[in-house]
Amino acid sequence: MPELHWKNSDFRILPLHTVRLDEESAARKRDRLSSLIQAGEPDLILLGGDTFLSPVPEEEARRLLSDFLAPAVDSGLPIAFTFGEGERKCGLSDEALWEIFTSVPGCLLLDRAEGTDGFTDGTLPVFREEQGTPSLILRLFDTHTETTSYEREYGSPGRSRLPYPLYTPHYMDGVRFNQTAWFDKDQERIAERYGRTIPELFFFHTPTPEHAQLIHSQDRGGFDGVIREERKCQTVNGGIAMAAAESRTVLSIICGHEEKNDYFAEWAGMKLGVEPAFDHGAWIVSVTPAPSVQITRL
Amino acid sequence: MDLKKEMPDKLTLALNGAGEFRVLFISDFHAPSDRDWDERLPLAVGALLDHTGADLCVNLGDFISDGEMDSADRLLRYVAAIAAPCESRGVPWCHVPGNHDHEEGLPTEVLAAYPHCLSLRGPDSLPGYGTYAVPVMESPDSDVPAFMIWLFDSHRGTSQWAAEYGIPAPYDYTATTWGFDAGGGVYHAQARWFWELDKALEKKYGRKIPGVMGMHIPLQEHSLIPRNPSLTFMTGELEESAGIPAFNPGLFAAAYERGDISAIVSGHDHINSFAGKYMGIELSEDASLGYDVYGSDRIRGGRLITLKAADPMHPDSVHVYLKDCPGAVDFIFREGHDNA
Repeated sequence: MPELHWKNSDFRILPLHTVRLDEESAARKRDRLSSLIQAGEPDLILLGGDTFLSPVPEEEARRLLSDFLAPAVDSGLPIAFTFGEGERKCGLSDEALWEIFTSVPGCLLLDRAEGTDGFTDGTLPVFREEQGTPSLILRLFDTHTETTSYEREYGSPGRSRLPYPLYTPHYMDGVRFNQTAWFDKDQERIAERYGRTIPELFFFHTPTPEHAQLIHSQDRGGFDGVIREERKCQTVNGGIAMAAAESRTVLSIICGHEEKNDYFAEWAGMKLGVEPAFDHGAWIVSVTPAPSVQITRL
Repeated sequence: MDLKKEMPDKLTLALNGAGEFRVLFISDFHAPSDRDWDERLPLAVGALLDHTGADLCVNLGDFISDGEMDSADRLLRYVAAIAAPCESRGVPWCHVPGNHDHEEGLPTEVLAAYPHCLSLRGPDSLPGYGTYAVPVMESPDSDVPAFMIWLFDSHRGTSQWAAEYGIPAPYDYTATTWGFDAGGGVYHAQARWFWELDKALEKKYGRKIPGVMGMHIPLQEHSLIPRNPSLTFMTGELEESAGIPAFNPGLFAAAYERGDISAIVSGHDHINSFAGKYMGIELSEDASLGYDVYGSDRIRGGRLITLKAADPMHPDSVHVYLKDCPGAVDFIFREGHDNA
């Protein structure tokens, strides 16, 4: 099981969504990452999906990722990752991408979920000092691609694409119910193993409908950020936000996918956030010893 | 897993000789607290039972508008009156609570005391007091279920959910422009219960057991039907916006991913009888049968689902209008009543 160590007062995560590595922008993006590391002083780099989007040969993907992450590797920073829909559009298999990501020095291996639909569903425990009990669990989910793939796997192809959907007309897949059920069981297993619940942070690519619904309440206290484009959340709600709320263990659910939207707000005792794409902004997500979550824009 | 708390064993329900089983869903009686109920209510239940030949009658809640009667005597007479149509015909029946019902105002045990009532309070581990599953066996002497009827307590409001789980405000961001209300809803813990028990049944019997679901408050996904009537092949009436919950437990996704649920029926909206298909699952509302609350004689009735062993994932489903039941017009328009 990989271990992350909480060395300073706060545990600081630099999530990076929708980096979309390609030859043309590689040098610029590497320089930007270097600046973000200097400014944010993170304890962990977390690639939240759509690190690749355009078709890319395997060896080029390996080189692009290695070059991009060089500033993190040079700083000795651990790196974690999950997949978004872009990883399924770049022409490489999940297995090939997994090998490419995990070959980067400092890349952490998830304690992967068994029996879920998600290739990158898993957890990373964070330990303070020498205690044997984690102080924090980072839980990553795979949000797949669009509802077409969901329907192909479960039946009724094409039926999710209604012109007047509940949330958004973008027909995105997301955290499915079987992945939510894995969280339900796994957080109970963790509580049983350690004798108490452990606070968790969720990271995944495509936002939940609950993230999208925050947009209806921008004038309410606690909403922080800007909406610059249409929301693009999951179509068929897999229940992960309500499961997280009922568990009372989840501090925050951080997603990406939306290009320029940049917002977070409190919902049901958690901080739900949508971080913009790499070219449009970046956050430091700090977990305090309390524990609570603070989000700072870099 | 204590199956006796999750599935009633008081009576054995089974497919008939033709391999079919008819489930009638009715709801929203809304009896007043301080006076007796409209005398047409039990007549309406009886007319629907006679017309449909239902093998099981499921009441999807909202028995008493204010949750409790002003006296124990009135409550017991009311329960006797609404139990009588099923009891006198020997038709098994059961119920789930609605958002107007209180456990202290109408305890499950009061209904379950009737010989043909299969209602359960449900597992202690679950919130609420009416989440359980009713098996329909392949034959009267079989111990293998042909179908499951999954029933869910949908509670009383978003603030109740927050209070029960210690969830701080704000939790109601979902109040948006298309008809959310705060009437309650199925919690995630119940969706998880369905997921786990359905998987356990598959393991025990070596195959998935097809089924249908019922609850008082519709799922958020119910509102997709009237929003997309053509593509969901909507039938029936929509006279008010679907009163969907402010939160989504993932129950629809759970049903979809399990692949063994063909229909999800709700009550709550008194003048909606719509049904339509979303991602292969029929979502419907059964309209109010009560006369002590707003309603419509044009729509009043119940949803009849005929489960068929020969085609288990494609049951027949129809809204049965009370006005079409033989003899019903004699009491619907009885003198002295102000019909809607």
